[in-house]
Amino acid sequence: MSVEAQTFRPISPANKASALSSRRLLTYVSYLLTALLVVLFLFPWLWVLSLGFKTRAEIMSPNIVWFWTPTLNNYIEVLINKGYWRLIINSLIVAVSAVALCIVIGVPTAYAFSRFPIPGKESWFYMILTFRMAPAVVLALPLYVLFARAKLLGTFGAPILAHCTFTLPFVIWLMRSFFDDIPKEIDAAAMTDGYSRWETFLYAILPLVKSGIVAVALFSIIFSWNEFLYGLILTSDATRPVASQIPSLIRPHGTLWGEVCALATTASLPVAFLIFALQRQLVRGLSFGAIKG
Amino acid sequence: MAKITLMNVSKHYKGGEIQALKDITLEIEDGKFFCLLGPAGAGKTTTIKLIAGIEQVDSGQIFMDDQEITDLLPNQRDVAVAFETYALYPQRTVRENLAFPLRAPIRKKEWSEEQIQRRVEEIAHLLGIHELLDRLPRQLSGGQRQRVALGRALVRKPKAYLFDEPIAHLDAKLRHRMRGELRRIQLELGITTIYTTPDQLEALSLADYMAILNEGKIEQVGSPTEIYQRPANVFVARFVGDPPMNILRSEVEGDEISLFGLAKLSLPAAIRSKLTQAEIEKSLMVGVRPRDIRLVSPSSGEALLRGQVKYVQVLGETSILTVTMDSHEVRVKMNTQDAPNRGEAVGLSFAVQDCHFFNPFTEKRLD
Repeated sequence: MSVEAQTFRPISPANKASALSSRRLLTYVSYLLTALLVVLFLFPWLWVLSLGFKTRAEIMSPNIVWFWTPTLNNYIEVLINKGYWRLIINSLIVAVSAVALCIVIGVPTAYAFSRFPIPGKESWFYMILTFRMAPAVVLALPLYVLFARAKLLGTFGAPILAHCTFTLPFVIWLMRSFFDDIPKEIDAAAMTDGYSRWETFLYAILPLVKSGIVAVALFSIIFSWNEFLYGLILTSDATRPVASQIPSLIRPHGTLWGEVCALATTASLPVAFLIFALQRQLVRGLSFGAIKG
Repeated sequence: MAKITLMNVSKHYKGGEIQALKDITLEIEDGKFFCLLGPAGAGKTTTIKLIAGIEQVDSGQIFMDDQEITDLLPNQRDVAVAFETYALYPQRTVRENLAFPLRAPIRKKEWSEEQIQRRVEEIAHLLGIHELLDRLPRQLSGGQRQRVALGRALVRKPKAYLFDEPIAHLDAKLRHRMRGELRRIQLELGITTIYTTPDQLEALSLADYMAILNEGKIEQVGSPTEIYQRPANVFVARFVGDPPMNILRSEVEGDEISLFGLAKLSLPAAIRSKLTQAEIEKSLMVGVRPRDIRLVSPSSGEALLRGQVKYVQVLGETSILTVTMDSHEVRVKMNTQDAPNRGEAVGLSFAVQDCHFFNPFTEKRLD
């Protein structure tokens, strides 16, 4: 057999099989990596979940207790006897109010940034962004003094307004990029169709960024829900959100790990539920593509 | 219905770097079909946007009838625009797009839901898009989207229609039909219509009268016949008419002109008297339309110019010849059955009445 004949031979079944199996191998490897990632993210949460159902002795045991009879004592103790179920309500009040406020103010602001020739627009825009970049500690003290003067300390107003310092820039920043993606001709069309500036925003533009708003609101709620410092120093026992109250379970005579974990599990449920419920909107909002004409 | 007047309107873009419109003054009569003709980048779309109020003038005024509308918002002007870029609402179906102008809060009392549905169906049938009513814009072809954009303008009866190249993206046959439809609708409703196009044939066939726009300036305003028969300058002469007018450089010798130093033609006294000495010394620009040139035998005494056929472009019934003489080229339009073959020697003849004379410096028409 000549060399040429070998060079031009068709792909043999054996070759095809090896090409196929290498592709299959790739699939397996990617599954494996995905599984690894999932375990990495899920493990701490599952660990917390399991500790919440263990007794103190089981938690403190030097050997990991793999099998045990689940107990609800931690939940009963922390949520009912200590009355911490109220903190979940506090967190909800703070997060929902802060985000609602930021959406109502931030979305029109973002639209204005996207559409109007504001003098010094970009400088203003970056100034707003720097609020998002500033660490909470920088603002915590001035805010404390301000809120004390305004007699807002200990009311829900304090954490709500404080949370706006980071959610509002986030809303403005992300929503602007959504609005920038919509051609200005859409505004022009609606306005010549007889809609005022405000009606154009409401009827022609807002429906195009619906998924975007959902995604941005969801992220803002998560930020607000997880916020710790403002929730700790600007609130009273009556208005403190759940994330900031967990350290109170660290006592001089030992940390109540069971109760910490029970509270943490309970606190993560509303957010997890929200994400599951709005999953589709979230993906659409984040993929931006849905609003292209 | 309204008369629209632009007075000394100027517009710059990008902080004054690009001048889109330079001191435009225009009057568009009530109920007329007015075409803005010009090449890409001439300022046609800018003119539409200024009249609609989507862009603001830098200087000058715009009037609708006798009311100044320069600073009014688009929704206060009552004009309907069909955008060249369509600008359809992407999340709304064709039906909702067409109904959108009728659902505007200011028209809440004028249109009942039933009337809206009927009107939408009517327009959809007219434009041949009734089968697409429940589709989204992204499921339509370019030509279909353009018809929806046109429909969204036609669905109501405003004071003026502003159409920005509304049928540019349709295929040739449909474009031809739509041209007829648009003209018919306009005549029926008698609504002032401003229509932009880069296609001179479209403008000539549609317009009651038209303006030719070039680099932000108006070159000429007039009826299609006026513009075709008496172009105001060399730009208009070459832009309107297909193939473009032949512009021949010619020396003035006494009361005669000599084309390329070959042919002698007597110069009309009316034109001779208008020329200054400097202009006489420079060569005159003489324009002849390709269809005003006759082919004659090269040996005949009638032949003003003699040359060789370089190309023959057959367009069905008519053909376009390119005839070369020395380094010059002249285009001739004639019946295909009479056309000579490529490479043949031919003589060209034309009457002095068919010539257009242009000032060699300003390129403006002399008579």
